[in-house]
Amino acid sequence: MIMTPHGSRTLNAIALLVVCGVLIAAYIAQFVLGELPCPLCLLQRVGLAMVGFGLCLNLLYGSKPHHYGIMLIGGLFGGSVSIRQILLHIVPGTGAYGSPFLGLHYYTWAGICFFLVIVGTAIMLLFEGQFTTLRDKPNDAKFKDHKLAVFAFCLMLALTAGNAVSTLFECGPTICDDPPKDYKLLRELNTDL
Amino acid sequence: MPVTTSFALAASENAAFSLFFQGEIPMIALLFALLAIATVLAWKERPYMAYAVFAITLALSIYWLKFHSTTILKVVL
Repeated sequence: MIMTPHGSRTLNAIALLVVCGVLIAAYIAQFVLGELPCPLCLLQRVGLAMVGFGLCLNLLYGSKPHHYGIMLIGGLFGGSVSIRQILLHIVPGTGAYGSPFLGLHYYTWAGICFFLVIVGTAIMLLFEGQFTTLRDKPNDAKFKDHKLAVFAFCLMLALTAGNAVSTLFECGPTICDDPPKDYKLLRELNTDL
Repeated sequence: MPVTTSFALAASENAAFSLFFQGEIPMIALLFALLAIATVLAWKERPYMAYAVFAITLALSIYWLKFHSTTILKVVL
């Protein structure tokens, strides 16, 4: 099967929207359900943002093997954090963090997501027709007038920046509380005032 | 910004700097900020600078993973 650069960009835009959907679901759990993310949960979000960065590069400069490499690195990092958290709670009687969703906790879902990222990236690397060149061309037209790609890129950038702000409010400028009880920076500012 | 708030922010920044020298910074929020900066750099047609920022983010992320993987567990068996 031949994959054109345009078709690859469309698939990457859809994949980026899925990553954004996972980050939005995490925000819903945080702000609507009131479940503050633990430090390991935040690192899993960082892994998703790394995967999103690789996808953004594919949308900007066209698909390249090293962009997929960045996605694989992000997926491996996030998967490592997920496995670490799953192993923390694997012994019966050691409890769990957060409420389950469809029978699995968020970190288990995150582990499944990262596994799918790695499998999906490996499959995408099989199609050589999408690679017009192997180098980034900064002067080339960005996004190639792909509206879905522009939307997905802007959403991902907003979510990454939003996570920087919300994490700063939750953890402050130091180490996050484990487990977090409230928004530490707001509490410290209120105490100082 | 009210003066009291700016004082509070300055105090927290001082605390952050003192913690930096104790090896307790970088914070996790910084990782997201760096990734956002890397994305903006890529958008502004600076791909190699974006890769450099991504590499720094990855190194800091691994530092944090090691930190949270080697802390003493609060698990009673």
